[in-house]
Amino acid sequence: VNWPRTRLLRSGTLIALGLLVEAATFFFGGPVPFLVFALVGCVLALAGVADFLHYVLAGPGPAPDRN
Amino acid sequence: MSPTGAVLAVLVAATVAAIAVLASHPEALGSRKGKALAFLIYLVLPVAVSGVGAMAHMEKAKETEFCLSCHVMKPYGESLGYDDAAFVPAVHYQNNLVPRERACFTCHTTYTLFGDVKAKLNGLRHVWVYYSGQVPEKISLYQPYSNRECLNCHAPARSFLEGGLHADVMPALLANETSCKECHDQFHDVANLAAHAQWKGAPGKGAAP
Repeated sequence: VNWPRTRLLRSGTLIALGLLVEAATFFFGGPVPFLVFALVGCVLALAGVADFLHYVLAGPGPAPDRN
Repeated sequence: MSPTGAVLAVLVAATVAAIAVLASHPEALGSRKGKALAFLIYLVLPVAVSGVGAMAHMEKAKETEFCLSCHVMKPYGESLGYDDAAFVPAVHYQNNLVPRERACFTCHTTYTLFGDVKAKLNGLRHVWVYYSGQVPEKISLYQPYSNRECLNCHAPARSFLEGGLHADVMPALLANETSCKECHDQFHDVANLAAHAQWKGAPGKGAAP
């Protein structure tokens, strides 16, 4: 598997954003931070993980990224 | 912030930093070690942090403070401070018969295999009802309060087992045929909140002794 920078950046950005949102919710209590954690943080982070896994399992497409 | 939250925050910072380094140096992933590192940073750590974070939030959702953060629950919190031993929630809270920091959850979860899960799903529904403005005028339990919830703590207690008052009805209590509420019938009574004197250690009234 080649590791194009754009793909790593896209997955990484999603994961990083998700994890940062998750981390921010640890500073607060109550139902709203809980919902933000689950509906924003987890969704973003898991989307990034899914994007990464998709590339690893499906491999590069017909027009490979040359970055 | 809880210790778990602090550890997770540090892990998040480390993961984000590692992602930044890896994304800017993709050539480092050419080796086997690099690929393993990518799996750790892009898969294992985010999933682990999200999973442990979810559990930490679930634990936090069991706290009395969490329940009382919705204003519709505040009267129920205040009812824990009634200066009257006839009120079951108040006497349990004030005498540490339930952990004060988990007073609501201790009594309002079902002690069954999926009791915790059910309580969490109900909690999510409550959040939706609260923020969508559909809070009913009268808040009531989903189903009649089962003796099982009382007996979870009381049944193994010597004072309960050997207490003369319960001996006659013990089989019926254990079989849930006679409700504990038939005798212990004073609960939150939030409709008459203002009529009740408050104990100084009630939630929101300063530090409990």
